[in-house]
Amino acid sequence: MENIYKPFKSKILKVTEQTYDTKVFRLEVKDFKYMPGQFVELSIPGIGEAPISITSSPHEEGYIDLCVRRIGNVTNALHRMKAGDYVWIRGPYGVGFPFETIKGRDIVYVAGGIGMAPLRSSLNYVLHNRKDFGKVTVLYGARTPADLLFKEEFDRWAKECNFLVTVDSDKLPDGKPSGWKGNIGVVTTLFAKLNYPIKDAIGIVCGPPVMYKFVIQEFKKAGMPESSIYVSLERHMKCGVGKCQHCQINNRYCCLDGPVFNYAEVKQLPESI
Amino acid sequence: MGKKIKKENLKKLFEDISKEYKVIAPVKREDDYVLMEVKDFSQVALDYPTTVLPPKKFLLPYKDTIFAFDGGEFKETIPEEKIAFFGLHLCDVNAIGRLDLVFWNDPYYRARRDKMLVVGISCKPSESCFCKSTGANVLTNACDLYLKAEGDSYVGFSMTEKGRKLLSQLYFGPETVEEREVRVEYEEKIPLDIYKIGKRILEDYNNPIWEETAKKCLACTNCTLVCPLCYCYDVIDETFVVPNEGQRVRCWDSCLLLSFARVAGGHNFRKDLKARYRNVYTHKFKTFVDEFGVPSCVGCGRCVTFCPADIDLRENLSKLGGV
Repeated sequence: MENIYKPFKSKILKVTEQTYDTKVFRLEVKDFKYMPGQFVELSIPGIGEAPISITSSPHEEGYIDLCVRRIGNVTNALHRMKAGDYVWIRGPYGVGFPFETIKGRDIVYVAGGIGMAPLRSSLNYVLHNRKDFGKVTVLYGARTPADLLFKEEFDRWAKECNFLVTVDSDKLPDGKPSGWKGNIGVVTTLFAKLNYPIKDAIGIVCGPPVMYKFVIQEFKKAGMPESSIYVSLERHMKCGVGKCQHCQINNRYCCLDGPVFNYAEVKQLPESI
Repeated sequence: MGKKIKKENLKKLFEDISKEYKVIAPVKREDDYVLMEVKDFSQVALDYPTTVLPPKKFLLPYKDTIFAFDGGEFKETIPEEKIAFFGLHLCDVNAIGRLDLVFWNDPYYRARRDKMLVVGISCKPSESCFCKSTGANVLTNACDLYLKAEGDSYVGFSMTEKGRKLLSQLYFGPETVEEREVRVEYEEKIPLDIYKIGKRILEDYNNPIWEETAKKCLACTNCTLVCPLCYCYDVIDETFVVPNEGQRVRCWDSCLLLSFARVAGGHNFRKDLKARYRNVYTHKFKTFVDEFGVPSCVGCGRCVTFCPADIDLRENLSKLGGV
């Protein structure tokens, strides 16, 4: 009988420092099929297992990238590892972004903090298949300029789509000035800078729990129907296969039915957002 | 169709099973009854109320090693033991049947289950029983052999091939008993329309009973520990001297615990006890019903008996149903 919990060994090919607390780990995989929005369970023997979203795009072959903030036991241990070390993974799990619905439509991504990780997978997939999609906008907010992820891709994104960035504060986490010249304010302030109607677009949101309801309000103000909004939700998916109950949201499982949910469906679920 | 067996012949049945299996049976321990390994038939309690812990204790042990790692590689630790339950009540038998729905593709559960023998026995429903309301009062094929008390003997009913083999042994008499369906019948103290109530949980999410019960509940998790169908778990890596040598274990958890719905970074989706307490009901009577068509409750009454705060699940359910 196949062991649904058994991870396979994967070599760390590359580690890229993103910010003071976040790194991208490139892991070697073979014949690994996934869609943006899905996640893997990452194991370090003796430390534990944690669900991590995939940040690379399916068109990149032979590896997956995981963007990991140092925040718990597993992620702290992972941050101590380097290229050539091994981790164990299983997956991919969950339901990603519904590209059969999104195809041909305009898209507005709203990312907050580490929420950029799963959205980047979707964004790079869309930009790789550019002609299949309409207008693409990304609204990206981080706490401070030092918290911005994937800065090396900003120029490319700015060329290939409508890419807007803001920070909650222009001071660095240690309180010192950063010299930031861009937008200051929470991510929802970027909606005022959109110079075209988004009511027929698909809205995609991922960020800290507090962010969702404010972003959804902005989408609705712009005339977007609830069924056009997709949210990628955060839960602690311990098993990834619908058994351990940690990611249960009433009668849905974040690991099986999500983590990407249609807002019109999920808003009926108390405790979801 | 059943076959009679005299009470004194149950010893022979027990000994026959013992030859092949590690036998787990109800045993009296001080004021309570517990399920434990039994080697001598005289220890078995044939007539008992409910055991403290349900059969999940052996199917999904409190601490179950799922992998051993030695220098990094994950090695499966599939259990080899052959277990026979001797004398489970129908509620507990059907709880196994409902656990099967969840864990059929789980290699650890399945290894134990495939090698397992389940012998059920008649019960005398108590005040806290409500198996009828949950549909768990009927004999199903989760049971291999069921022993129904009749006077000072029993009638054996086989539901599987393993059961039929035992029923063909000589300690069962030749005369047969016709019975179309075996079920436990009694008057429930608080009869419940479980499916209707289950639907109400999400519709009437802010019913005052959650707030009221949360004031009494100690979040001690007694009810979820003794529940034959509370199966949620946590996974922990245990290490010995070096960090990459050790084992991955899963152990019982409870959605009543504060940390249960907490995510990295500290946000907690069910910070209030009210929300956590409600979640026990949502899962049992709504989520599980949506997923598998039956509630993850067999009405064994353990949660009612072992609640130190005198919370009665049935009273809450009946208030929810507007009865």
